[in-house]
Amino acid sequence: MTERSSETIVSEVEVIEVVPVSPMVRVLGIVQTLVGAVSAGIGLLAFLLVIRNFILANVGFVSIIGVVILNVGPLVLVGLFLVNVGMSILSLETSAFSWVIYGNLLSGALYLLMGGLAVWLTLGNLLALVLLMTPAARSYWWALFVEDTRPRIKEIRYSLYLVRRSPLVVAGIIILIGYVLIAIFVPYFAPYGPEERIWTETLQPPGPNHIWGTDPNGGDVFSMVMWATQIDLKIAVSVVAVALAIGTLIGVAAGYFGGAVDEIVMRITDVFFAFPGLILAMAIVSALGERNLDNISVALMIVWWPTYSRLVRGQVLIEREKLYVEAARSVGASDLRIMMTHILPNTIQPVIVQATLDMGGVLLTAAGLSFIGYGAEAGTAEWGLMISTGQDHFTLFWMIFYPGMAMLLCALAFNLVGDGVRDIMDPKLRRR
Amino acid sequence: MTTGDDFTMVTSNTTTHGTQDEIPELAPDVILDVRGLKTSFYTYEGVVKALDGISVDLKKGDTLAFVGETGCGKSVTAKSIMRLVESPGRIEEGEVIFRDRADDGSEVIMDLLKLSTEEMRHIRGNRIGIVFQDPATYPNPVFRIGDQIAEVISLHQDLALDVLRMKIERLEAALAENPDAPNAAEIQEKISNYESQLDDPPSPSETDKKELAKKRAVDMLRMVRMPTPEEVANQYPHELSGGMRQRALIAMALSCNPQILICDEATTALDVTVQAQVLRLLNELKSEFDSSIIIITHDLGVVAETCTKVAVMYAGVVAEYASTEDLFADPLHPYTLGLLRAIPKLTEKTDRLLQIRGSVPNLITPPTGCRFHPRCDYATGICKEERPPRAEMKPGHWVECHHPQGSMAGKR
Amino acid sequence: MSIPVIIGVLAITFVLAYVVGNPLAIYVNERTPPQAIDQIIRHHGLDQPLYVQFFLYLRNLVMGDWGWSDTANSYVVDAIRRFFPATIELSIVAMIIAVLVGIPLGIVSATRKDQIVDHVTRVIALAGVSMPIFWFALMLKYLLYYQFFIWGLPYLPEGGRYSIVTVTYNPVTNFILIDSLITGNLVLFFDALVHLVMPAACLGYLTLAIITRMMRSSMLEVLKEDYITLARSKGLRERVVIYRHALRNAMIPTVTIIGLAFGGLITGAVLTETIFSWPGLGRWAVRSILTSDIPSINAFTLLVAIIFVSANLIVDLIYGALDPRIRYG
Repeated sequence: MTERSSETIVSEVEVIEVVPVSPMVRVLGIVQTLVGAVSAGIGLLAFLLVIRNFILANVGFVSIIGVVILNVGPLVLVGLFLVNVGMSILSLETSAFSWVIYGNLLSGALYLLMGGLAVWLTLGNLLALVLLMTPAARSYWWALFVEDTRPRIKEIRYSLYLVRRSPLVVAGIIILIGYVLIAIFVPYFAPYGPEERIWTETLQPPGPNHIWGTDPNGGDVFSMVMWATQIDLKIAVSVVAVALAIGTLIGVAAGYFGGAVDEIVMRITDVFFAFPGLILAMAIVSALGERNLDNISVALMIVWWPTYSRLVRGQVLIEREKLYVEAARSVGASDLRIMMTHILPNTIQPVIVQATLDMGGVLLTAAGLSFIGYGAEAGTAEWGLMISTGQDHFTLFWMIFYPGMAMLLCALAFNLVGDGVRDIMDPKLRRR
Repeated sequence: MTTGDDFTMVTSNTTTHGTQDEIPELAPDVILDVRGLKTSFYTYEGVVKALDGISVDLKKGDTLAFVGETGCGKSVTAKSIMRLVESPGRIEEGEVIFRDRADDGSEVIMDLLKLSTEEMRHIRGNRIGIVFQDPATYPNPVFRIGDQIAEVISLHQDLALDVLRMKIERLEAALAENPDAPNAAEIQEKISNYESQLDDPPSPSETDKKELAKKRAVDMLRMVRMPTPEEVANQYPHELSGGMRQRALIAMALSCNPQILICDEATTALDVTVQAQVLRLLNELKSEFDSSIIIITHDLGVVAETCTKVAVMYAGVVAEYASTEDLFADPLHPYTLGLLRAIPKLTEKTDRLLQIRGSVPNLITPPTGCRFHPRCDYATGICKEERPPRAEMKPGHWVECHHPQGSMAGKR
Repeated sequence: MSIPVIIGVLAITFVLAYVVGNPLAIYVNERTPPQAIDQIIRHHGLDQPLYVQFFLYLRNLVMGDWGWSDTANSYVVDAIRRFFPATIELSIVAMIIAVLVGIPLGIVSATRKDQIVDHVTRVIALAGVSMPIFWFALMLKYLLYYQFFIWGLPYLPEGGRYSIVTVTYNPVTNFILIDSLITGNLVLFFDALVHLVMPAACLGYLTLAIITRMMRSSMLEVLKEDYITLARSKGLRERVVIYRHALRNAMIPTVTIIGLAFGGLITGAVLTETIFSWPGLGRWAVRSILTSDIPSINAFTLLVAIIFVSANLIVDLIYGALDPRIRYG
C-alpha cells in the first residue's frame, strides 16, 4: 500500500519537471516488463519442474534435470526485479532507469550461462539497453546517472589502483582469465575428446603422443584436464550462485524482520555448521538417488547456503540501524522496497568477496566428493574423478599430479582474488 | 633527511648523538627547539604537506599551546617530535633540538631526528611523555592499568638500587615487628650484606623488579589524584570512566619523570568539568615534576587558562607564536584575529556569530605564497606570490605575515 | 547455542534412521519368520507414533545403545571406542602443527605487509586453502614413501597407525602415543610418531592456512589501533609492542577460528584417513555411507556435532581468559 502511494507521489513530481512521456520510454518499460516476466516465468517453471522431479526421483522414477535448476534461484529473482523495473519505468520513476543497465547485464549473463534456447533471450536485454540509450529515454536519467556515478567511479578508480599495486590479485585475475579461455577454446586445441579412449595406449608416461601421459583406460590426461575445466568451473559458479541467492534471501529476511524468524533461521544454520559438510553432501547425494554431477551440485547448494545467510544477516543487522533506513521508512517506503533498494546494495560487498573465496572451496569439495565416488559418472573428464582413477596407480605420478595441479591453481586463483579484494575493500585498512 | 618511519627503517647516520658531530646550539633556558620541521604524507591523491616548516621553541617550565582548526597539523607536530609518524608519513627535514638532562644532572644537547632508533626509544616515555586524545581507545584493553604503567617504569628506570632498598626496608620492618625472632641474627646479617652492596647494586630479579614497578605505578596513580589507586591499578581500562582513564594515561606519561609532557588534545574527549580537573592537575604536576608541557588543542579557553605560550597553526604553518597575554591582547596575524573574533562574547549582543570565510585548504595543492591568503581580508598581490618570512615583530612575538594587524598594522 | 544444535542434529539423525532408512533392517534379515517381525516391531516400539519413537531413540542413545554397525562388524559404541581415539590423536597433532607454525607465520606476514615475505606467506597460506587435501596426501605419499624408497632414503610408512607386523601393541586407551608412554614402549612410540607425520602434515596444512590468514588480518587490524601508538610512545621495543601488546589482542579472533577449524579437521580427516588407511572415524564414515550403514553414519554425525559444540565451549573459555572485557561483561 505505502509503496504504491510513495511511488505515485514521486512520479507526479517527475512528470511536472520533465518533458512529456515519449512513446520510446513506454516501449522500454513494456520490453523490460516482458523480459522480466519471461525470466521469472522460466525460473518458476523450472522450480516447479524441480519439485516435480524431486518427488518423482524419490518415488523412484527419474533423476532431477540439473542444468535448468542451476539457474532457478537467480533467474526468478532477477526476473521479478526486472518486472519491477519495467513497471517503475512505466510510472516514470527516474531511479529505475539506471537499474535497467544492471538488471539486463545480470540476466544476460544468466542466459549465457544457461546456454541452449536461453541465449536468444539476451536479444531482449540488448533491445532494452538500446532503447535506454535513445535520446528520448536518456533525457530522463542520463544527467542524474552521471552525477550519481562520478564519486563511485572515483572510488572504483582508486580500487583499481590498489588492485594494480597488489601483484597477488593481478596474478589471480590472470590465472582465472586463463581458465575461462581454456574452457571456451578447449574444443579447438585439445588433441582428444573428453571421453575419447585409446585402448592400445594405457598407462603411458608423458611423451610425444601424450604430453601428460595416459590413464589406465587410455584417456589422454592433458585433454581430459583441459576438458574438465568446463565442468568444474560450471559447478563452482552455479553452486555458489544458487547458494548465494538462497542464502541472501533468507539472510535478509532474518536480519530485517528479526524476532522469531531470525531465531529459527539462525538455529538452522547452527545445525548446518555442526554437520561435517562433506558427509552432509554425501548423505544428500544418497537421498537424491543417482550419483552424478547434477546431484552433487544440488547437494553442495544445500550445504553452502547457510554461510551466506549468516553473513548477510550480520550485515543487515548493522545496516538496519542506520539512519538512511530510518529516513526511508519515515517517508513511507515499504519493507520490500527498503530491503531491495537500500539494504541489499549496502550488504553485497562482503558477500561478493565471500562468494569468490567459496568458488575455490566448492571446487575442492565437489572434487572431493568425486574422489570418494560420490560425483561424476565413471569416465567423465572431471579433476577429482581423474585423481580417483589414478590413485590405484599412485606411483605413476602423472595421472594424479596434473589434474591436482589444475585444481590447485584454479582454487588458488579464486582465493588470491577474493583475499586481495577483501583487503582492498576493507574500510579499516583502505585509506590510511 | 631522516625518516620518521623508524619502525621499518633505520637511518644510516645513527651514531650522531649531538656530541660526536657539532653540538647544536641552544639558548640556555630553552629545552626544546623545533626548527623548520617538514612532514609529508605520501598518499594516493598526492603528497600531503602536513607540516611545512614549523619553528617553535619551548622554554623550561613553560606551557606551550598549539592551537588551530582540525587538520592544521597540530597532532602531526606532536607525533613528529616523538618520531611516531607512521607510514605513509615521513619527516622530510628540520631539526628538533632537545636538551637532555640525565639522571645525574649532566646535560646533553641533541637532535632528536638524528638519533638512532634505540636512542630514540630511550627518549620516548622517559624524557618526553605523551598523552593522547581519546582515553577510550588508547589504553590497551587487555592489560591491567597498573601493569601498563609499571611497564614504562621498569623499562626506563634503573631499579637496582631501589630494589635493594626495598628488600632492606622489608627486612628491617620484619625485625622491628618481632625483634626476638629466632632468626634475628640471620636477618641482621642479611641486612648488612645488602647494605654493603648499596654502592654497586646487583641487577635485580624480574619478580623483584616487577613488584617494585607495580608499587611505583600505584604511587603514580596516587600522584594524579586517582581515588583508590591500589584498586585501580588492578583494574582493566574498560572498568574505569573516561576521566579516570585519562588520569591513568597521564600517570603513564609522567611515570618516568619526563622533562616534557605533550598533551595531544588530552582533554577534548572529556566532560567540561572533568576537563577542568585534568587541566588543573596538569598545572600542579608541572611544578611538582619540574617539567615543561606542550598542549595541543583547538579550545582557546584551555589556552587562556593554562598556557604561557601559544603557537597558532594554520594549514601546516605556525602563523603566530607569542606569549599568551601578548597574543590575546594584541593578535598580529589576520588568522589569529579571526579566531579570537569568532569566540562569542557574553557581554556583546550580536545577530550572528562571526566566522572566517572559506575553509581549510587542501594540503596536497596548498595555496601559493601565504597559505592563508584566499581567506584573508587583508591579502594583496604579494601574499599570493611569496611566502611571508618568519619575523619577530615584537620581542618574543613571531608572525608569518606580510600585513600584520593589531599594534603592528601597516608597520611593514 | 549448544543445546539447540545438538537437538537439531539428533532430529536429523533420527529422520535419517527412522524415516529415510528402515529401522527394522537392524534386527531383521531375509530368514526372519514373518510373525517374529511383528514381535520385533512391537518390542522396539516401531508401531508407535513418530514422536514416541523419537523419545525411544533418545532413550537408547542415553542408555548407550547406539545400534549395530555392519561396517565395523561390532556395536556402534565399541566401534567408537576403537576409532575415536585414532582420529582425535591425528587431529590434535595436526592442530598442534598448525598452531605452532600458523601463528608465527601470520605475525611475520602482518608486520611485513606488502613485502616479499608477506607475499610468499600469503601464497603459502592460500595454497593451503586451495589444496585438494586428497591430492596433497597422494603427492606426499608418492614423494616421501615411493620416491624416497626408490632413492634409498629413509622413507615414511605408507599408512596405518603403527607397523602391525613388527611392533606389538596392546591397547589400553587406544591413544597409541599415550599408551606407549604409559607402558614405556618407546619403540612403539616412535613407530607411531613416524606413522603420524604424513597424515598430520597433510591435515595440519589446511588448518595452518586458515590460522595464518586469520592471524594476519587480525594482526593488521590491531596494529592500526591507538593502543599500539601508545605502546610505541612509551619507548617499548618494536618486538615488545608486537609480541606483548598486539599479539594478545590479535589472538582473540584467531582463537575463534581455531575452534571452528577443529570441527573442520574432523571433516578433513574423512579424506585423509581414507588415503592413509588410518583406522579412524573418517574412514569408518566413508565406508558406512558407501554401504548405507545408517547407525554408523548417525554416530559419526553426532560425534562431530558434539566435538564442534565442545570446541566452541572451549573457545568461549579461552576467550574469557584473553579478553577481560568479556570476563566481566
